[in-house]
Amino acid sequence: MMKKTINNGKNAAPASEPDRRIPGIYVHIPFCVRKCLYCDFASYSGCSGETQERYFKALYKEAELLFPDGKMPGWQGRIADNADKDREPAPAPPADTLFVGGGTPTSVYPRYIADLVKRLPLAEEAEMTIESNPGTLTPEKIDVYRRAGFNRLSIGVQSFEDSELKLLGRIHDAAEAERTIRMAREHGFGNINIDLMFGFPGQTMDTWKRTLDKAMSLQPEHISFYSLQIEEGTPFYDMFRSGILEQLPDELNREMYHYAVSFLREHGFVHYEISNAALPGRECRHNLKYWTMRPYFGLGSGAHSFDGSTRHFNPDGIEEYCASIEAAGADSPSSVRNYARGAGGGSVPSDNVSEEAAGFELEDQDDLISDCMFTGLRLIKGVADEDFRRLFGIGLMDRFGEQIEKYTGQGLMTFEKGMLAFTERGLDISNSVLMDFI
Amino acid sequence: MDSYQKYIRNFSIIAHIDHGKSTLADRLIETTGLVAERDMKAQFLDNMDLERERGITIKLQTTRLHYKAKDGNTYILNLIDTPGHVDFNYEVSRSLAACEGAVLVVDATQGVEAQTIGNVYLALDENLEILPVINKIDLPSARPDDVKDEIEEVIGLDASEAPLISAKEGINIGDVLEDIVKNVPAPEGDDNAPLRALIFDSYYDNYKGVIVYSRLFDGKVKKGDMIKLMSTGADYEVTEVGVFAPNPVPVDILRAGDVGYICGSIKHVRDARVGDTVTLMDNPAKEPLPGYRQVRSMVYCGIYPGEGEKYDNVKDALEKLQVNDAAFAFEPENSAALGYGFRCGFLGLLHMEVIVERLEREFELAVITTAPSVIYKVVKTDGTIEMIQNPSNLPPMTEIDHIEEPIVKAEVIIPNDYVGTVMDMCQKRRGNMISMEYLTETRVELHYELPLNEVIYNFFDELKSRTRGYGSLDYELDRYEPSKVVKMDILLNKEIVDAFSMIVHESEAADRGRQVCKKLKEIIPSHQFEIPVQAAIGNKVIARETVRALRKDVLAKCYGGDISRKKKLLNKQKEGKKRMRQFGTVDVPQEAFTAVFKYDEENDK
Repeated sequence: MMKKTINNGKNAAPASEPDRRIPGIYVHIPFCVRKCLYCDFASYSGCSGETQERYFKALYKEAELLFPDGKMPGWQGRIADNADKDREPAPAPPADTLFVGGGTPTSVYPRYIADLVKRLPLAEEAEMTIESNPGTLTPEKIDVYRRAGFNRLSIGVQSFEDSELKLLGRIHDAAEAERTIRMAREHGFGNINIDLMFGFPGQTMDTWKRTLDKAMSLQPEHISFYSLQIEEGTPFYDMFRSGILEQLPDELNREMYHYAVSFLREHGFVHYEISNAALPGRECRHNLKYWTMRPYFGLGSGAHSFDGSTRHFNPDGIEEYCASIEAAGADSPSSVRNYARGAGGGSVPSDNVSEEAAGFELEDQDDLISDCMFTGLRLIKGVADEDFRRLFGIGLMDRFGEQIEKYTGQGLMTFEKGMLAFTERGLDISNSVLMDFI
Repeated sequence: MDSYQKYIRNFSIIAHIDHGKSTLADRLIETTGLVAERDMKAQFLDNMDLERERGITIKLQTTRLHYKAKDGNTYILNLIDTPGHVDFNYEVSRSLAACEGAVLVVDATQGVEAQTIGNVYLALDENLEILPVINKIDLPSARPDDVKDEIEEVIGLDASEAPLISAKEGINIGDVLEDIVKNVPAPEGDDNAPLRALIFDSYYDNYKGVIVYSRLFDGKVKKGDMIKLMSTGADYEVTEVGVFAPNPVPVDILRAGDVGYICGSIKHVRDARVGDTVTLMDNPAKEPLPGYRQVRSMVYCGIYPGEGEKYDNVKDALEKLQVNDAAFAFEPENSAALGYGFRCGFLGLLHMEVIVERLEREFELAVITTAPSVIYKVVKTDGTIEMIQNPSNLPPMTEIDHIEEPIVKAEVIIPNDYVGTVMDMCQKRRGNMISMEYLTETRVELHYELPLNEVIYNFFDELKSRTRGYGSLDYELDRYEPSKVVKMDILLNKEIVDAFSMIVHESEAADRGRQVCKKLKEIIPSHQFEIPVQAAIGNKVIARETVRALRKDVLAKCYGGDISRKKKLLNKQKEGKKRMRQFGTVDVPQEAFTAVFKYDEENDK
């Protein structure tokens, strides 16, 4: 594994900025003990041992196709290698972040995960996160993850109220969540995230406050706090439509949100993204890549990759994913992300891509600018004019002068010291503003 | 009698909506073997999709059937369909004028309704032999004996011999055919007299030009003849004559008593007006057939291109529709809010809805329609008179002496349980009750004078709703009468949107204003800021609602795998916004224009 990142002379990022070319790796584990009522992720419960074994075999093969001999391939992605388009693709530096998400990655044999990690080109000090749910962890499992190199644990707690956990369809109670967090800490995880949820039916300002207090008492380094999103195709969606469940008023939802933001700040957290806060320096480096146009490889069913100009996605279904990987050979890489090898042509029109199929979208400058704005403005500090110029060769005012004027005038955005960002009120209704930036 | 005419029967089928007129027509066609069963679409004669969907006939169809009767002779039965809605009464009367008899279909579960009676009167005006038929006897709730009594009591027709049928199930269809042969008189008329043919419909064919549907009362016509239309004086050379089978089939000659078509390279349907008389140029009839009148639009509205739609596309489509619809008129106009568009005239609200739906479905156009309006007679202080059908064109109040509005005579038939609620409704709509009759012990006919404006504003929907679907309505224009009407404006974020302006009676302005504001509040999505919605007369605000500012519109999560999908969602949201109409800083969904004048039960309370 390579220790240092590659710096290439004239176009190198400023010393304070990490090299923009360093990719992250995401691995999707689509297995769960039980699917929660609100969940619309590609995850499945009750899969047989054979299915899981087949899935991991496919994952290993995908890793080998992508990273021959455990090394990063050369690539020509626009941002990944913006320096000189005529130059031969140079091997990318090894990934400095790994995020194993799901589903519930800790619901499968821990060895499956450890064996996968061996096949990935990771920098020595990479941030390595694994997602988990209370009730799926044991000290033994934790030891395996730690030995495999994982240094960050993300635990889906959602609430510390038993009645709320039941309503959400979670498999654990509050006490178990607390035990799990303490156990992880005792067994060596020094960087822990707790996922919380607010704005679901039956929740009150009081229970939300109690949940936040409880979470804080467990001294996590990071807290994600998500407003419940009703997604089509989930049991919750049907329950809301049929009136069995009723949405909380938007006012209360926002009150909960803003309470959480100030509560977390009071406890020394940095609110750095719409739904994320961390102790200083503990921001999730992997997730930051998504919001700053950095490249990442996605492995597993439904996983997406981005090389700076192309977004590739694997089939959502386990069966479809496995079949596509099993059919792929070293010299017929079409079902793996061929763009990684510099063959980014032959784009599939994005509208025609079925959910089952793998595919990719080759993005032009306008698409990339849209992505940059609508992901970057999720960050509380906003989008830096300087970064925007470096990526696209023009300034934010050149491109969005009218919008910036309008929304700073309405008090929904600020543009100060070269940073375009939402105000608190702007965040609440950010979609209605972002429409004008895409 | 001419032996040729002896074996012809010209008849219509008349009925209240949904009593099964078109289904019976289908069954007659099928039984006489004109169209093989497998080729039958349900309701063959209603050949517009829209008509089939709504179960109403708008455009008439005519067809010739050959029927071998029990007496051993083969008869030609000319079935002349009639439009099934009060908007098209004049067309109905002309179709009936082309016949000697009418089959009156009455639903065995519903009994006699307003248009049953309305149609009977029209048929009696034309001295037709009326043959009652009781339909839907297969339904469990059928009560044929009661309905027979009703027909005898209410209409005064002998219904003892009326065939009991189910058009849907094909029961006793033969009885209807025998009834027609026996009881509809054969046509009379002199082959050798000068030609007199009644135009009862027409449509435009790309190859043949206008196909004129005619009933010959006297004389003959054949290819090569020079014909003259008596009301317009225009003349044409006949290029083809024929009959309907049901598609046009050329024949050598049409003679007195026949029903068929005449083509003569006529370019517009408006040149061959329904009710006009066709005669020969070199041997013209002295007098035209009676009953002709020019069709007048009763209801007007603005039709504008929707967002992203081209003006010319809408214009082309309107022109195409007009080619086949003499009753539909339009002219260009423009609105400060909606830009360039058209002011369109219709026979009634249904006619308007049909045209708008055809624009959307057949021509795939996005259009915005403004609130329908009647024509007001504005008498100015200088004594001049202006006929105004667009609220925006109303002269300043200072120049107006008074305004007159059209009044209709309306007949409403309802079960007696609903008399109270319907009287209440008519009262609210400024109705003036003339009389009330018990048709039977349980059925009541109310005679009202009502402002037409009140009738086009969802009167029918409300009537149906208040009477659980049992109420029926018939009306005709009576006169103009002075009325205290005012122009009401709607303001969004303090700016008048002219497309929402409407003329309302002073006494109802406050209610209507509240309803419209409430409706707009529901329809206009939350913006990033608060939007006042106001109704005003002149400078005086009479109603107000507020569209509250958007509180929450944010994605909780957006990680690597979400980016493509979430961006698509955001783009969709953006597209939705683009489809709205922008007035100043306010985005208004296009459906708002139609929705503000739709009847809403909630609003009634």
